[in-house]
This record gives sequence, structure tokens and C-alpha cells, in this order.
Amino acid sequence: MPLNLFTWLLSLLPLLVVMALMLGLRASGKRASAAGWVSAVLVSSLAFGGSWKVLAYAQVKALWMSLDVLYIVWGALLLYNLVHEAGAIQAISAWLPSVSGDKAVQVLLVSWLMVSFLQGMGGFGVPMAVCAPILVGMGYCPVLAVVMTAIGHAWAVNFGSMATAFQALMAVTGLSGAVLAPKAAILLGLAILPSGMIVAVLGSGWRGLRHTFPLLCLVSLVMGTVQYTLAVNGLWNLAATTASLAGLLVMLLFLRISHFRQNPAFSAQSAPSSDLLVLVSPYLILMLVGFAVVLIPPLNAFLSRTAFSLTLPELSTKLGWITAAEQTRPLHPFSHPGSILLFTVLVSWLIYTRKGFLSEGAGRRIARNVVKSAGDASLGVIAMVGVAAVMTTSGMTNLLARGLSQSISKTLYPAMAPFIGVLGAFLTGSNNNSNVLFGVLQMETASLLGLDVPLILAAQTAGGSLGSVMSPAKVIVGCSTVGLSQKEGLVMRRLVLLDLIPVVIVAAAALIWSLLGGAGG
Amino acid sequence: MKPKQNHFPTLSLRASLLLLILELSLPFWLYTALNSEKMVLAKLLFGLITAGMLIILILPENSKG
Repeated sequence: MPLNLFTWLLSLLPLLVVMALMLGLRASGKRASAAGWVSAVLVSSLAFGGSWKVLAYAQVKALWMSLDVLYIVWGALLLYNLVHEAGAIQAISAWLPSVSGDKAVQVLLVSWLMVSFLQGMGGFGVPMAVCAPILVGMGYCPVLAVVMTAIGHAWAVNFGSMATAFQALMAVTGLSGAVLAPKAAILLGLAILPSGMIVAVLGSGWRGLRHTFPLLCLVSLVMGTVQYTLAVNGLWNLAATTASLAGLLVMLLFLRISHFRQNPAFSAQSAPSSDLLVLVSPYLILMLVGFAVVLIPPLNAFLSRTAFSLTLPELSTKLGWITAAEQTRPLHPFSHPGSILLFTVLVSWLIYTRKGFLSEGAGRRIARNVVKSAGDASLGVIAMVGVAAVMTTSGMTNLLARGLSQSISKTLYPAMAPFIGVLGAFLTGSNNNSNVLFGVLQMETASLLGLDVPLILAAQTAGGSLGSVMSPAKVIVGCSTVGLSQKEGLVMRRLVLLDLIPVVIVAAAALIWSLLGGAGG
Repeated sequence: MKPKQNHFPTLSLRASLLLLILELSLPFWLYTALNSEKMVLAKLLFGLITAGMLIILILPENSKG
């Protein structure tokens, strides 16, 4: 397919349809995604030579990619509804004021630090789905709660979730972590402070930002340094999780010794009660089991023995765009984060029942709530991943990226690279998939233009990390626990513009770095 | 004056769930049909997946479930 403005706009059409429906007409995520899917299929078959067979295999591929996400979504919603039924969300919301009476600090603890820490356990919008209800419990409106938690953890996506997105970038480009990690960690480190500042402004206004600014700077510096140090030393799997844990500890320590401690009986009151510890035990179990499965090699090897994958043949459109034969990403049912969540739910259920935290009919209520919120979210995810699969197998995604890279001069390209990462993440709902889609393209473009390849790839994955939180697929999941199902457009309208602020900062940093001679490295 | 009644069918929670089950299971049957070269069946299954997407797109949601 020749690259010109018309074909480029045609490739963009499915995304424009999704954006227009969600942002303009406030359509639900599943309807907007279904409209995107229908338009992608029409554009593919009418203009890109996508035969029904190509489209059919694309749908098979989309289902496989969706299963990976949906297993986590259903598990996370089950866990959330269980802890909610037991009263844990209300208990956390009630406990936070005893940590600090300062609203700005409370909001930073939940929607900047806790949400980033949870990103280390599993992404796909789950940290938002867990933290947004806590903010609602603190009195924030649901839309604001989802927006704050989304922006708050955007910096942690790349090195969070056991750095799957970063590993994907290494895999597709063939470059080592030692080459890619330093610049990626620096660019993402620059996004930490703006993310926190936006959360502070949204949660407590400019006044809240002014008086928490020193704390924000200190915690950002600690998190950025920890993430960088771990990433450049080969521990990228734990870089974001450890960084946010360090940030949490520094903030709590700071609160003990600073003027933020407004309550005279602070120390005694802020110690969590034994009931609260039992109520939050599912999250502790989740962390423990999650880290054990990843960090104990024999256990991981044992649980990963069983794996399923599909073999897809070489696909070719009528216009000659070829997608090579491939084996889909293997699904490990026993070491999958979804299984870890289910195991956590099982153990937590036993603990709660033993302690008498679950009233009669709890099981039925939990099941009904899970089905209600996960059903809509799942349809939206399947349709949106379907859009990505159709666009990729038809050559539309490649044309979009080629258009962006060829229309930008060598000087400005480093500033454009994060936006290509954003595009991939917005489309697929994942930093990981964005890197798979555009990693090689960015590497080849950077080589052709004589730019610093690791810097451009760092900008790609940083853009993917920041952009993934505003993708419809993640927003749908984030909205599912705060009663905003079918109203995701309201969140998208506020989220997109705000989330572009850290992206612009990363883009400017990549541009300046390239101009100052970082390109020589 | 009575408000105008809307008799257009809506997508209830049960219908959504049924759609979800179909959208999750049909691609597996589609994959099997494609691999065993049963092209007529494969076309029919792909048509059903497309019909499911159109239903999600066209029918308004029922907020009562």
C-alpha cells in the first residue's frame, strides 16, 4: 500500500472512530471499541486488501491476546469485590486520615505511590481498579478517582508488571537491557514528578501542590534514583515496584518527622489495628505469592511446565502485506497472574470466613458484581484488541508509523518517538504490545536517520508506558470498580489531555538530549 | 402529555454475557475450522463474530441489567 495522506488517514480511521465516540459522544468503551472494530474490518477489506481469511486469523490472534488480559481482569475484580464485601476498602479509607490529616498527602499515598506499587504485581488497569474505589471512599468523585490513579502510575508501567514491556522491547530489537535500560530509566524518571504534581493538583488544588511540593520532589528523587539504579544493574524486573515501595517508605518516614503530622496522637493512631491487617491481608498474600512465583526459579519452572499456544500460518493481504507465520505467546495457566489472583482469592476467602468478615449471601453478591462489571469490560477489551489485530495484520499500523516517521525531520524525530509509543499503547491497551508493534520500526528509523538508537527506543517505551494508562482497554477496567461502566468517555475526556503533559515532558527531554549530543552515544 | 415510550430492544446483562461467551468461544471454533480447511463453516463463524460486534454497536445498553 503506497504511503500518502489519504491512505494514512484511512489507517487512522478506526482510532478516530473510537476517540470520537468516547471523547465526543461519551459512548461506552465497549460500543466505541465495537465501532472501531467494524471500521477497521471495513477499511481493511475495502482499501487494504484484507481477505476474510486474514481478518478471521486476526480475530483468532485477538482472542488469544485478550485471554491473557481477561484472566487477570476477572481475577482482579473477584479479589476487589471480595475485599470490598469484607469491608477492607472502607477500613483503608478510614485509616488513611490517621496516617496524615492532610488531604493532599492522603491522595498522593493512594493515587501516586500505592497504585504504582500495585503496578508491579500486574497491570492492565488493575491498579486503577483497586485504588480508585479507595479514593471514592475518601470522598472523591469516581471520574476524578480513575483519572488520578491512571496518571499517578503511568511512569511505573514500563518497569512494572515484572518489566514485561521492557523485556518485549529487548526481545523484538535484539538489544540488551544494559544498552536500553539507562536512557529508558532516565526518561521515565523525568515523568515521576509531573505525575505526582498532577495528582496533587487534582486531589487538593494548587494550594495542596504548593505545600506538598518539597515532599513531592524528595520522593520523586528517591523513586527515580532507585528505579535507575536497579534498571542499570540488571534488576529491571523489580525496578518500578522497589522504587514505589521506597517512595512509600520515605513518605511515611517524612510524615513522622515533619509538619505534615497534624494529629498529636499520630504515632499511636497511625499504627494499623489487627482487624485492618487481616482485612488487607489479601494484598499482602498477593504480593508474597506474586514475588515467589517470579523470583523462585524452581517454583516458576514447575508452574510454567504447562503451556498452551496457537500456531498461525503466514498471512498475506491482496496488496501483498505479509505477516510471518508465528506461534502465539504461550499461556501458562498455573504461573499466570490470573491464577495467582485466584489463589489469593481462595486463601483470603478462608481467612475472612474464619474471622467472620463475610456476611450471609456474600458469595452471591460478589459473583453478581463481578459478572456485572467484568462482562462489559471484557467485551470492550476483546473488541479493542481486535482493532489492533486487524490493523496489524492488514498493514495499517505499519503505514501509520511509517507516515509519522517519514514526515518528521531528523532533528524533531526524537520528540516524535514517544508519541508513536503512545499511539501503539493507546491502540493495544498495553506498553508491551506497543513495543512489539513499533520497537523494530523505531529502531530502523533511528538507524536510517543516524540517531541514537537506545535513546529513540527509550522514548518509544516511555511513551508506551505513559500512553497505556489512557487507552480505552485500561480505562474500561479502571472504571469497572467505581460504577462508571458504560461511562468511560467521561474519564477519557479528562484523562487524555492531562496524561499528555508527562508525555510532552519526555518528548522535550528526548529532543534536548539528542540535540545536546546524546545522539553520539 | 405522556413521554414517548422507547420500544427499541436493549442489551441486558444476560444478553451481554451471552455475547461475551460467544465472542470468547467462536474464535476457537473458527481456528479449528480454518485449520481443517472447512472454509464454509469458517466463513459462517466469522460472520457470527461480526454479527456479535454489530449487536454491541447498535443496541443500546440497559443500565438496569
